[in-house]
Amino acid sequence: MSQFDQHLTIEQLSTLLDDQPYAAAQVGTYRAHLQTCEPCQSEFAELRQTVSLLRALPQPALPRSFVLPADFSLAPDELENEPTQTIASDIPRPIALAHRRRHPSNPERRRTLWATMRIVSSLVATIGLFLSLSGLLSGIASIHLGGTATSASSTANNGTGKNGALITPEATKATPVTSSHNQPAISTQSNTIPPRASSNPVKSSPPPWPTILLFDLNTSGGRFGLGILLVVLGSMGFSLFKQRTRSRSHTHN
Amino acid sequence: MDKLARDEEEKLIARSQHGDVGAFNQLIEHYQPIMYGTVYRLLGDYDVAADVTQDAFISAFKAIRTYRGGASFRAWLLRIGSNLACDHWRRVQRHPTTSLEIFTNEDTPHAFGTLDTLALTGPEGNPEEYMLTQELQEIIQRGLEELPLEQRTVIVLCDIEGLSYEEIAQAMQTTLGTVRSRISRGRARLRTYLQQHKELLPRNYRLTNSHNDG
Repeated sequence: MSQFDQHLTIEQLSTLLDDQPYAAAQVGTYRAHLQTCEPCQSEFAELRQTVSLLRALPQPALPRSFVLPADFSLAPDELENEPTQTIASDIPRPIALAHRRRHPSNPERRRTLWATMRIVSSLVATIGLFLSLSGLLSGIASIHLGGTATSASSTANNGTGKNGALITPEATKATPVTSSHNQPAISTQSNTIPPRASSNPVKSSPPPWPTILLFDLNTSGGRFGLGILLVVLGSMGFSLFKQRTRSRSHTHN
Repeated sequence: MDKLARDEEEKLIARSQHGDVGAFNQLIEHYQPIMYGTVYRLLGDYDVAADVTQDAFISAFKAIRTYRGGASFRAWLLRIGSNLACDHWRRVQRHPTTSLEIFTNEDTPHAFGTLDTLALTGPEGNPEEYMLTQELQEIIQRGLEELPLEQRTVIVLCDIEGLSYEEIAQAMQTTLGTVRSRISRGRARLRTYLQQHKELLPRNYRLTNSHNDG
């Protein structure tokens, strides 16, 4: 292939400037072309001058010695044993360095804050877990025990006290059965009855719970729902605060 | 400082890998000029370069066990230094106020002198013997900072610090082909930048085809 038909590329011209063994064979060809091609000569001259100028730049004087203090030591876990991209991720120090002079405690304070938020998030998630379990279990229990309960409360509307007696004899005692208000009446009353309802495990529970965020903690569904919400929030918070500390030291080339 | 004999260097590295700070400090003393020089040319700021150089040596000490003998230790060190410098550069780009430091305390670029006062050639008119004036040095440095980071890194390592293509490939964790192409493009780009200031370039340049330029 003749090099004389076309000009040398920048890369070929650049090769002529370096004594690279890989290009020894081609260098002769390139030089031969240069002999006769003025545009290439001109381009080569400019590149050559550029490199010469670069090589003429003086070495900056060392501002100080960079040796480490004699008592410099690393904690055992700071010594890296794996070939690494973690060299680049050792960067909390350089990043902090620029800021360190002005706000020495900021990185520390922030780390503590993230750590605290992580703990809080995990507590929230744990509470949510217990709540949802509680709701789930009482929900399951009431399904077993009170499949009759639901049918009883709906039939109670019709005025028959017979099924109602299966669950809460006290409820039917306490409320004369009327048509449309029975369901809410029964459930409310059965919640206030617990101290008297010794035979009813479903309803014998601790004192009334509040309603939080539209979730009625008195009902198993409410507890379950709030529990799930807290678990979700807690997990999100936990992973969010975890990531932030990592991304601080996360750099890329 | 004399060039470290290879086996002497290997002993120091081995001791460093066992936590011997004194041994590592001897390595630092030997390599700090090239490390600082590289980082400075990449960033253009003396103070920042000092900070980054210090961090680079700390990182290198932490990572010393990952160094496998057989590779160029110089390239291994400069990989750490150039990575940190490039990371710093990228961060600064996001907060441009810091980069203005580069332009403080410097002459304006428009104070052109005559060609003779800007660069002197050696007795043979050999381009390598240019003594560059402060002004020309600054222009070249600015031209370097105009280059994309990867081209800038290869140019600094090759044309300023004198590393071989193989060492540069190690330092940048890339192939020889990539190194070649980045070098050629970086040189071309810098050439174009300098053309914009060609009144400042030395007059006594002569084209010689038979010239061997290392």
